[in-house]
Amino acid sequence: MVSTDPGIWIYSLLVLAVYSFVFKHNPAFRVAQAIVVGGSAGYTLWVSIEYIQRLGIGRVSADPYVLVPLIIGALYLFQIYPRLSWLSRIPVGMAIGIAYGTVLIPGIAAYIIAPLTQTITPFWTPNPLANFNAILNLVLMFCGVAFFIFTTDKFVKGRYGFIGRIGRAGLMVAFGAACGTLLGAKVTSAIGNIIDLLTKWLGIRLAI
Amino acid sequence: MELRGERDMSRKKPRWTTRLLNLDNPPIYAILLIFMILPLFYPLNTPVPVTAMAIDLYNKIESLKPGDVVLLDFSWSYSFKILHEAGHVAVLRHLLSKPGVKIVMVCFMGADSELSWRDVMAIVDIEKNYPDKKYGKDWIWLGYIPGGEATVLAFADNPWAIAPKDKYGTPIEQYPDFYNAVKTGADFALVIEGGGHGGVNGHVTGGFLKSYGLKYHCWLAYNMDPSVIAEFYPYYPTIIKSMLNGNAGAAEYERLLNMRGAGSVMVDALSMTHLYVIALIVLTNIVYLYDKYLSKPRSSR
Repeated sequence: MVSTDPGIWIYSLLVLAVYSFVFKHNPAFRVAQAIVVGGSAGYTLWVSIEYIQRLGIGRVSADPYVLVPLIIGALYLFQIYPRLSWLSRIPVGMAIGIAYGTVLIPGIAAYIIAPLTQTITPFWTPNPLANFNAILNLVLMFCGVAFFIFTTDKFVKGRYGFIGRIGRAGLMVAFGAACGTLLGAKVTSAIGNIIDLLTKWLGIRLAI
Repeated sequence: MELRGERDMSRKKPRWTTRLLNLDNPPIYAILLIFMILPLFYPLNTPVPVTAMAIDLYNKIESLKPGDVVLLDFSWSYSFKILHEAGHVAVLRHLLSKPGVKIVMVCFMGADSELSWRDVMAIVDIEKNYPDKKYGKDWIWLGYIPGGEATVLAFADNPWAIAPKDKYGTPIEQYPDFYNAVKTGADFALVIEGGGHGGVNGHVTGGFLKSYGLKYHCWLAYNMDPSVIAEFYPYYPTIIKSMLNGNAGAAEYERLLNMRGAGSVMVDALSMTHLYVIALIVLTNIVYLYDKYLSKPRSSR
């Protein structure tokens, strides 16, 4: 049975409007786009206000020090007052500084050391397939890095140019795999929307 | 717009290969739609080989003891709910089936993640399906905590300083099973991040990797956005112990739980559409090469 819930109707019509884009750019798509952007911004604003009330203002009586970040955060609002807009740089600077300060050191461990130790693994294990995989990983990583570092004509066109070419092939495989998985993810989203339309909107029973 | 095989445009009618190569999108999408919808009515029961990653997570949850606390994160934007929902539903059902296991639910990504949580809870329906599981004793919901990566790192160091109250405003001290059991990220028996957006550099996923993975060496699992899973393989299995690959991972987990849920249905439709896309790629390449062959003068063929 077709849904009588106005929310489901709005959702379904917006989904159809968004997917109409694959056939042609049209006004329905633009309307849906504007509604989604505006709705998201409005919802985020509401959740942010709720969060400030719950964990900010709501905690002041129990912990007066909470006032300090609240006041610093409020300085953001001076963006709209040109004469004192410099005050808004204080919370921006603090936010960026704290974020980078807390993230920098763990970042070296996470993005440089950890992948390196995982890429260079023993290739003399009893499993020949794992050994092959380990060697392939190492070779492709080396060649991939060489492709980006040794970019002079002498290297690229010279005797060792094949190293960069192997690296480029490895990168293409990686980009292809990434593209394939991205396609899978997007198709999954589309299937999910279709299931919602069929079940929640049109009330059709699926073979789940 | 310049058409492929334009040298033949002097003819009155382009070759069938040229017309095929310049086919408009609508018929291609229309057939794609059919391939998506058919398996929803006529299940193919596509074989789903269960990978070691799903088995490891299943075994980990099976090994949880009463009193163990699990951190279950819902940090996916609502627009990605299709990718993560089935996996989280299956994992949450498994967690709730374990007696005495405590679950802390939280989200760090975008304000709309709370909607993702709401939808998962509506499907699992704890009150109806798990009446013995009580809020505050067996599970708590901290809601959305903004601040991105810095907050994730701080939450791992001292969770209750970052989230002193739950979503409903109750101080965590009033939930002693949680407050006393967890002092740092290391006290979580299992950490499951739902999201993966932005890859390893994502401001939530990266935070989980650095804090729970590298700093506290927790048993860390991801219910992953499949489009970025390749970025995480270098961290598996030493730092990240398990990854559910979107709906394919969900289908694997459903198989382990002997249930057929949304993940299994999705995999049927996904397999069909992938086959269709592969067939299109092969067909287009064959037609392209044939078109190129036909473009040559007869004497040089």
